[in-house]
Amino acid sequence: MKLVTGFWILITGAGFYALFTYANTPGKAGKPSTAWPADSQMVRDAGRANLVLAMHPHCPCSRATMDALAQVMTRCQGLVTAHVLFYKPVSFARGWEQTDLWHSACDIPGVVVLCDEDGQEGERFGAETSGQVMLYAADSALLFKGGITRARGHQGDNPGMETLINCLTHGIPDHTAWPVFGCPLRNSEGAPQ
Amino acid sequence: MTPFHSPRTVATRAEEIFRKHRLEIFRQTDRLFAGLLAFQALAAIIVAIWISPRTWAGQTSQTHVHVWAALFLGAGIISLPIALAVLRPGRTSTRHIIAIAQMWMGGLLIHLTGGRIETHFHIFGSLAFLAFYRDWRVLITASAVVVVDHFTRGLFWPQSIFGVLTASWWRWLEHAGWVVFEDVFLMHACWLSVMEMHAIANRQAEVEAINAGIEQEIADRTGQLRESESRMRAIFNSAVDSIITMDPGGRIDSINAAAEQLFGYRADEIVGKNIKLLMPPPDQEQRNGELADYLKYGVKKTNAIGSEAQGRRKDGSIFPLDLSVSEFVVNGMGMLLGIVRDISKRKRAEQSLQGAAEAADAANRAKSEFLANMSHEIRTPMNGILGMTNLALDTELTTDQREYLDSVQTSAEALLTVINDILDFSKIEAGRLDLEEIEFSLRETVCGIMKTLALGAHERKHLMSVSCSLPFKIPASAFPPASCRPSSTHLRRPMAPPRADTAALVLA
Repeated sequence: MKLVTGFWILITGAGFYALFTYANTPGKAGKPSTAWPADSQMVRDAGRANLVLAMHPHCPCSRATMDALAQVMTRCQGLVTAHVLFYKPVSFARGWEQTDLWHSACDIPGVVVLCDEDGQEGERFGAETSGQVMLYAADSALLFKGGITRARGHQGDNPGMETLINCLTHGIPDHTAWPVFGCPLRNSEGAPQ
Repeated sequence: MTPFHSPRTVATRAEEIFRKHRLEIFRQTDRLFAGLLAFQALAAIIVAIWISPRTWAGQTSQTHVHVWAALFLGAGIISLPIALAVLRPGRTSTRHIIAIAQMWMGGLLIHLTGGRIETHFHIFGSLAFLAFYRDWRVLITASAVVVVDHFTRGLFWPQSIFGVLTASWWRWLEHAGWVVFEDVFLMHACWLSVMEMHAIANRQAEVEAINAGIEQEIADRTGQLRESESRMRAIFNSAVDSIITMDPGGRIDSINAAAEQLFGYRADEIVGKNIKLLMPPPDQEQRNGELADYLKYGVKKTNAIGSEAQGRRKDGSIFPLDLSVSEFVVNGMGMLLGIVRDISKRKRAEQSLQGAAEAADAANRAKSEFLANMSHEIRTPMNGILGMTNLALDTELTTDQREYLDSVQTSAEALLTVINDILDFSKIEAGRLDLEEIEFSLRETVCGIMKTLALGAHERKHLMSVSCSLPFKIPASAFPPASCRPSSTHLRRPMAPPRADTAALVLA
């Protein structure tokens, strides 16, 4: 009986370990642009900070990022304009990008929702993973980069979000590359992009 | 007092009831959790498919890890506890493993729902469900799983624990506090529940003890009744007289062995049939009427009690019997008890005695006739003797001759008196004696008797005299001889010196 129980604990524990490992393994951090890209097609709000969030519309892990964004926008109302870029392959039908995430973003005050054809805009900002956040000051300087969730798809308080809010409220830049938990915005390596 | 009544036995029985009750609760809760865990595993799969069906990389997608986790990890979590709930329900290890699995299932669901705070209620709900076991140790095990989970994740993924890398570091304490808060109340509830189970077990044990005592009492009483019935049945069957019980309608209720033997019927042949079966036709209607009168008017108004009747055996033979009937009441219904005695022998003896008496009467009559005839025949010559003696006394006689003839005359008269007495006895036996009151001289009678005795007294040299106090005349029956005959009983000689004897005359 003890042997069976031990085996059961071992197997189940290993399963949980694998699950937690997956949940806590961040995506590629990317190389966020240190300043607002000059070739960006988006209109920057020069009067306040600008937050750029790259999202994959079908990434289930990014729901937590959207919840975190809603919290940030609520707590930092009037301090920032958020631009959410939803990745959409050109070859895919129009509307593919308009998922529940899209509608959730539209419902957040102060958020501008954009369809990012083939992820070109996100690429300009150096985003690699869904949930990548870049915060630029009114003068275009990069204040924050990384994710604002604590694990894949996990809601709740986390240091990335707290740091982002701190940057917004105090205008102090943070150079930490906070881990981004989400689906890759590009196809896997080796696969045609 | 039965063994069940001893406090020690009641306490042991109460403990046994408590353990049995608790084991049943453990088994029921094991079965409950087996179903609950299976349901949760299914829910986890649905949640995973609904919330995160696929993971994406640009334009490509594949099944999300959460779906596989829900399938395989969920199955792994529930496999052992369900197997134990089915194969080893009620065991301590089973419920503790179920507690671990339940908390793990909570962790899986929280993870699959993206750590939604609402899903954390699963933990508290699980603790409440685990309290169904009424075993506080299970709550400790479940809470320990939460602690180990937080510890392990803090070890490997510190950012996943509330407060580790955030300003609100105390939030994990808040989580723990809520769990402990619930545990305290649930453990208290478990303790109260166990106390209540003990109380119920004690009450049940006491009730069982009382019931056992009552059952024992009933068994004892039943045994006594059975013994009493057996004794009464033995008496009933060993009675020499035949006993028959019947209902008011004359239907036979029971008969004893003597009645079986007397009438030749077995009990199973005759019970339930009418008493008329045991009576010859002439007696049937009469006895029926008497029984009806008895039941209607009671024992004093019928002659069915203690009367002679006739019985009829199975073979049809008729015999005389003595019948006594009395009433008794069973369950409010009057019943009749008949005691029957075969009087054939007595009847035969009576007939024999009657014959003997008649013979004796005939013999007595013959004797009386003989005595009467004999007395009559003797009296004729005796009258001749007396007549001749009187004629002889009228002649010239010497003194001695006269005295001799006087004695002859006296003796002849005495003999004649005896003969007359015999005739009187015959009349008495024949019932033809007529008494007449006349006066007679006692002195003369006594002197006459003394003359007959004088010769013997003279030979024995006894003196004889008559007291002067005797009256001359007394009223008496004209039948004195029986009273004045000299005999050994009437004329006694006291033990006195010779020549000084005195004789007493007793008048009877």
